[in-house]
Amino acid sequence: MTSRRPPVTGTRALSAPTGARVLARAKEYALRAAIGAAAARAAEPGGLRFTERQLYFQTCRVLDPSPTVLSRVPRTVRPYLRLSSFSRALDAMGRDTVEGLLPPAPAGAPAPERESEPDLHAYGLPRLLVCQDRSIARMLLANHVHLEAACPVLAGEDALLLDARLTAALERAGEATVYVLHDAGPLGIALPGRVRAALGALPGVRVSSLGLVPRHARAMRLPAGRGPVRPAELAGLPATLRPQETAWLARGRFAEVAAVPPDRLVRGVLRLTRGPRVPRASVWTGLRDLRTTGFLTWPDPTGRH
Amino acid sequence: MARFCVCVAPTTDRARAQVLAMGAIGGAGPGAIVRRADLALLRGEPGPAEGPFTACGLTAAGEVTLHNRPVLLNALAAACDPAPVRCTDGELLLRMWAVLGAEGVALAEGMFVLAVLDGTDLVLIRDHLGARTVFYARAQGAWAASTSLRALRRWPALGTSVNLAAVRSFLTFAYLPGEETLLTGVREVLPGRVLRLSPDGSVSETVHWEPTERLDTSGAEGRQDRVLALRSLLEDAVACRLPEARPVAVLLSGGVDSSLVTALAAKLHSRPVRTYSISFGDELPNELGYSGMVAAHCGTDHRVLNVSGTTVAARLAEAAALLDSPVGDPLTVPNLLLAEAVADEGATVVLNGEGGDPVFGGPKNLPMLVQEMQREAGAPWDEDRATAYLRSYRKCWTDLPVLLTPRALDALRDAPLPQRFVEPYLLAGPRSPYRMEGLLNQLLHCNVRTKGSHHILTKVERLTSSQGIEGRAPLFDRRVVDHAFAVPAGDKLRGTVEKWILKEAVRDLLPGTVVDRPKSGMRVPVQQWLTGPLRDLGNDLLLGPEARRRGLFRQDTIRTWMKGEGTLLPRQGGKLWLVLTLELWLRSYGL
Repeated sequence: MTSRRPPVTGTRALSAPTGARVLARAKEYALRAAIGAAAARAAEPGGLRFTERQLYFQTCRVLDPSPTVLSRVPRTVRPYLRLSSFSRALDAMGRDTVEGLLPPAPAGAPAPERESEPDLHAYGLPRLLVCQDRSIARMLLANHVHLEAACPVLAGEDALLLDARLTAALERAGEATVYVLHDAGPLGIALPGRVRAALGALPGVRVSSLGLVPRHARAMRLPAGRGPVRPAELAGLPATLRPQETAWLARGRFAEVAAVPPDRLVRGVLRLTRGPRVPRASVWTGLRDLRTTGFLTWPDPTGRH
Repeated sequence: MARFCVCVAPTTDRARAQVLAMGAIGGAGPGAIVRRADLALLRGEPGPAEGPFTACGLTAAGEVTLHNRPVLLNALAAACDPAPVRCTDGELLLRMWAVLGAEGVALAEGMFVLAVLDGTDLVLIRDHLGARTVFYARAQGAWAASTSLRALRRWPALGTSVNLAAVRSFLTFAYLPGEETLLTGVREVLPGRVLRLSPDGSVSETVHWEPTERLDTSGAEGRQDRVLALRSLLEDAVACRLPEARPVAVLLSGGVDSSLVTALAAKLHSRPVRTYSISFGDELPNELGYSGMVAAHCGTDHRVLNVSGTTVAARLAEAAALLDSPVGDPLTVPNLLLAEAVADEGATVVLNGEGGDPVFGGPKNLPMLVQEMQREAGAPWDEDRATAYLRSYRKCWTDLPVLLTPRALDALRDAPLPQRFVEPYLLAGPRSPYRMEGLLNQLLHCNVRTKGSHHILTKVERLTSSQGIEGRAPLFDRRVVDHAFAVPAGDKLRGTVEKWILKEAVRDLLPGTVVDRPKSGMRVPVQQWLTGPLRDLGNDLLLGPEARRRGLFRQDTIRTWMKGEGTLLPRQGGKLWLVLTLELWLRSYGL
């Protein structure tokens, strides 16, 4: 629903608009146009569905003034738009008018499971995807990633207390992988370890990161935010992060999976979850640690897959 | 080489005129005259039709190959109505129908369709799995049926045109999954059915066979017995399909299904076994290593057929025209070339491994299981099982809004949805005869009744018939299918091992690397063909004046796909292949 202000009447209506008001109105129109363009871009190709946060970052990209020649220089960028301004403009447009925009994820646990056939969980499950952000999990589901990749998609908080039937199905597969899609922030980078600990010792099941670390955020020029620094979180970072990455995180910087363009995110997740399982760890334990923080898995430099 | 056609009309003269209009040469011979009806062969059309013949007071024509004649002869003898031992397969089936009715038909194992003139009714009988096909239509108070869709197209009374609902089904499934055809007013008899068409226009259907879930409840202790029982059935299924005292050919892809058929044929046949594989070029991933290994292991005379994109471009129109209903499968031309090679080398029967995946739980079931795990009422991704199944096909179903023109979409607004073809199996209520308790069995049942009957078997039959040979599929043997639905689903998909029981049943016959290897599949270079040898053909056909005039497809979408754009995943080639196949088929039928 588009919210409309009541028409201005009386002497105020007769007074000429000031320059500031004209400018504000022009900015509002420009912002709405940018959101419209961002929504169209986020939905391509094939009518993808996206979250409000993804639309925000896409709008930032639309407003990015960097010359094309600089667009390949690896670095993170500052969001070009205040979140509050974006939310106001989106409210004014009406969320229902933006095609492809998903409703906000409901708070709390997902709806209770309905009854299904008795053999539903009787087989092996070779993969499972855990997303740090519930909204991203719902976005991947809304784009049918689970059907395409034959891979259940869960939010992190649900995976930390995994349904026993799913655990059994993972174990039954003999060689299953739990992928963790996380942000480039201290909490996100620690999430694979938390999932691994929560799963316990499941024979043949391993946990693998599909998430971001700071070097990926730089390579993809993602908009990055800044937040409070908690020393306890920094203490748990893997030793395999590069010093400049650790320093970047220590400054309170972080980048979200939501900042990855939706098409690139879906393609990347599909490519990595559907592909053959990465060979097991070799004697090169350092390389194994790098892999579990996303090394060599993300991003795809071509952006095509 | 012939197909048949039949017409039941208000007068005998009209029936005869209609049959002649459909292309019949001659008609019911002496002793086979039936009032208000005519029944004749369509010579020059590829097919094994025989008739008209008469038995038990009924006249019939059919395309009948029976694999269990002794069983049927004994059944007739037990019913005190023995058949001549040397009667044809068509006559034997007619006697089974006349004496024992639908139960008699259910006893027959084989590939058959039979049209019977029964009083004033026309009775159409189709085999259990749908290895052979028959179509029927009604116009101007008359019924007509034929094993050739092209013959019905020639029936002037019908006045048929393109069936848009079928166009949508084809773009969704890559074949037509049910009774509808691309011609308005023409329908296909469903497999396992006996259809009675009455002069007043009424139709009654009897089901003589439908897969049912009669589960063996012996649990894990009975697993070894189930494996051994399957092995015995597989041996019987292959043995009864081997041509007596003649060489046999096997299409050997290198997968476990065709490999086990090869191994059993080599073990059970007294004559040489020839195997054939396809290569699309050494630079592409293929399974030739596996097929070569199996051929060497089984001691067959093996041949690899190289299929180039140029050859495919040259023969695509011919392959499309041979199919009564189009199949958007890029293997149609290679299959045709294989059939030619088999025929050239003198074999008349070619076995294949078709059926392993739909019957025993091959790939593509896991996505639907996961989809069901993730159902959440009211969630943005929630959709019913039938709709998700269409999505899982990964064809053009989700592209229809941008692929079809607004005019076509408008005309389809009130047309029945394609979900109707899979709902009976996937959304069957507790009292439905199609109901199966297990989700995996529901999916397999759906696969057998849609893709099995209307894609795999149809394609094999039409392409092999065109070369005067018979393609036989032992894994679609009705008793094998019955056994598959009797074993617990966990014996089919065990953990993540697909077709577990099938592999166990033949483990001693094949190298372990073949039995236990993961499914990889042969990569058909559709995209390379469409940007290479088929580029000009595709452009001319899909963007040319005839396609524009027909007004089915949006030209901008076709152009976008041809540039390799417009889809999230690189599947433009497969989508264009469907459109191209359909365009060629429509042209071959003058539509």
